[in-house]
Amino acid sequence: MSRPGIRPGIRSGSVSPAKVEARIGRTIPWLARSLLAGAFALHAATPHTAAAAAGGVSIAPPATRAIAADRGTAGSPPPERATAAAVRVDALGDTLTVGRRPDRIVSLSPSVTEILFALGVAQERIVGVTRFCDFPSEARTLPRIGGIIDPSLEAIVLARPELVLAVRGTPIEQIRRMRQLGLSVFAIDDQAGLGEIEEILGQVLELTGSDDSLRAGALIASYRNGLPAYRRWSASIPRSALPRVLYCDPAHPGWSAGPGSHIDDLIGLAGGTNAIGGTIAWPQLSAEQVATLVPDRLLLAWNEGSDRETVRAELARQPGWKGSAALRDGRICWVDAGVLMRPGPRTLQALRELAACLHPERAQPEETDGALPPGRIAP
Amino acid sequence: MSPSGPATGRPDEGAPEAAAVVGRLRRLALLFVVLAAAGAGSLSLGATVLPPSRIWHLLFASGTDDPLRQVLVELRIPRVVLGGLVGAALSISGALLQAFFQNPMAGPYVVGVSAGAGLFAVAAMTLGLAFRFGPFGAVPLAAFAGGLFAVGLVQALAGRVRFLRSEGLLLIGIAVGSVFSALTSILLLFSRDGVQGALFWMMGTLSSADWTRVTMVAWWVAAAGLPALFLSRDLNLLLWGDDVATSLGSAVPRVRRWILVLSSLLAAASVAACGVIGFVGLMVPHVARGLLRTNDHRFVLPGSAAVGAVLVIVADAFARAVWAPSELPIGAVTSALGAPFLVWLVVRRHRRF
Repeated sequence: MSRPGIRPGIRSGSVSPAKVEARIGRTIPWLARSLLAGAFALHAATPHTAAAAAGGVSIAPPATRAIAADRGTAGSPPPERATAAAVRVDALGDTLTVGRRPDRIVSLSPSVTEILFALGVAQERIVGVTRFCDFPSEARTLPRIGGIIDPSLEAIVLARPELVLAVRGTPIEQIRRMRQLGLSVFAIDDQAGLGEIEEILGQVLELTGSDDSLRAGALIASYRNGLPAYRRWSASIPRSALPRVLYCDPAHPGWSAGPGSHIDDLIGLAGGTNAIGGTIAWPQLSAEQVATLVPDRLLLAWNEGSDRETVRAELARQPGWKGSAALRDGRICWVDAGVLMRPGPRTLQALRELAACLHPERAQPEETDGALPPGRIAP
Repeated sequence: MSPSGPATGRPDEGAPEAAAVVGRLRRLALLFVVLAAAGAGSLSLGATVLPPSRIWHLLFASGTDDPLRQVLVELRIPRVVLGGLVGAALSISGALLQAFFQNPMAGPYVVGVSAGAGLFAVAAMTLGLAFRFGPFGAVPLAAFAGGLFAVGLVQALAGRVRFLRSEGLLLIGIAVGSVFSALTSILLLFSRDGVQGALFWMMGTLSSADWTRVTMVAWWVAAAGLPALFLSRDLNLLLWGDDVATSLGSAVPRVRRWILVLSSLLAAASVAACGVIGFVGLMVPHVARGLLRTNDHRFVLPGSAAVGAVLVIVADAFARAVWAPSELPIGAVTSALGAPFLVWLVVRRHRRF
């Protein structure tokens, strides 16, 4: 069942069955190997093998290289380029031929839903979202297709999408099944660093088109100009004036963000240094570590509707946090949890808030564009 | 736990009466009728509820471009069939291993299959391995390799234990499983991508069922499950202990080797197809023995297959319907539905003695 507009393209990298067999041969004992060989011979005789393999997902090295090459050019497509046919490689290394503008889009992640709305994709064109899609508030009324790691294939098929936007966290097996069912699937890298947000916005815009191209263009331009401005701005601050910032989500007081996470990026651009070093992007801190880190500032995730004083008092009761001077003295920057955890259209505003909180005395880079998306940043 | 406890069971005393055999056959046939009913009934449940008349219409009367038909033929039916196959495979595997260890606590995951499969699968996800083999991608294949690797390792280590052979193997299996689980946790800590997918996979899901995978698993289950039926007599003798079985003409070492190979293949194939569905292999043989009121493996093995298939099919229907369109992990549902039933059976049997 192939759709008229967008079709899964021919895969760029594949592994020959003989090679696979050789690889498996090294790992499985003889009995399993001979049984497997028998099963494969039998399987090769069935006609649908090639179709199934072609619909499958792989993260083949050549395709990954193709992404890297693509990154240089896909930076900022003009808003109305969605009509030109082009082959695009997604975050998992699979290709999709971009054709006619899709009128029925399913989003498999809250970050994608947020991007669609921010780019001005009309609400009627979004025919399925996850149960976690809560921003903007219009998203709550859209039909649900399940969760992020447990989307219901039945519900997706019944939504008759022309384009399914997945993310890197979408289970690969599910993506394989969706392609097999004739759906056009494209995986977005929703855990990318801040520097890639502009590219991702451009990528989604190219696939979906916009019903409000002014808004889409302004959003992308704000990232194209805003992030370098903050990079220059933060680089101009002397190292001695950079506060050490510790990120914490009070709902999970042990979890923090280290190098390689987008929150680490955010802290750096906002003129701080991450109190967490090492190599783990999302480390789990012991009470002892929390007690000995002694950051200058805390970056706390904040959920709408929760009382900050209560959250602060609750956190102060947690092991390791009792003696925290930053917590006691209120040296805290609050940022909306949804904005913090989903790098996307609202991230620039979070960056602005955090920079203002860390360096209230310094003038911020001037506004590069007035047409920012509506944010829900803590006042 | 005493090895002669009711849950392990010993073959029934004396020659079975013809009437008792007929009764068991009747109950076995009833189990398969229940299986057919559960399979047909669960086709109705999912993101959209389809009444039986609608299913009939979709299958035989409607055009091919109806998305509901695609949902039914390409998603729901393979899912139900795969659930039945996986349930049967895990249960036969469990029945074999309980006879092997002469221990009611044994199950396919106790000998390290699930831990090994989980570790290799998570490693494949974090390394982003990409190769395909028939209908299986890197992750299921890694799970399969990991399950077999773990069992091979456990058996190689247990070969050094001279006494208490089955208990030693059980303990080593638990120890190896713990090491693999620990390594899995460490891997998950260091990986950025695929962690959530790995977690859901480790709780089991049938959502990626398709016809090619169903065919593959069906061949596995046939190739490893049918030979197990021919071991029934030897399994019955094993329940009396190795010495008695040997003196009654069973080639015990060879039988033991076959049990281990077949049960590992069955469990690893099911893990490869749909992740780790816990508790089925441990529990279902007990349920089958309780329902059939016998420990005779000629009845227990096919009975376990039927009960296991019913349990997984019903649990999966429940998992995808109760919170539709979101799904519950099926491992949680099999445990939640099956465990109280097992407790009831054990209590009932104990009271009788």
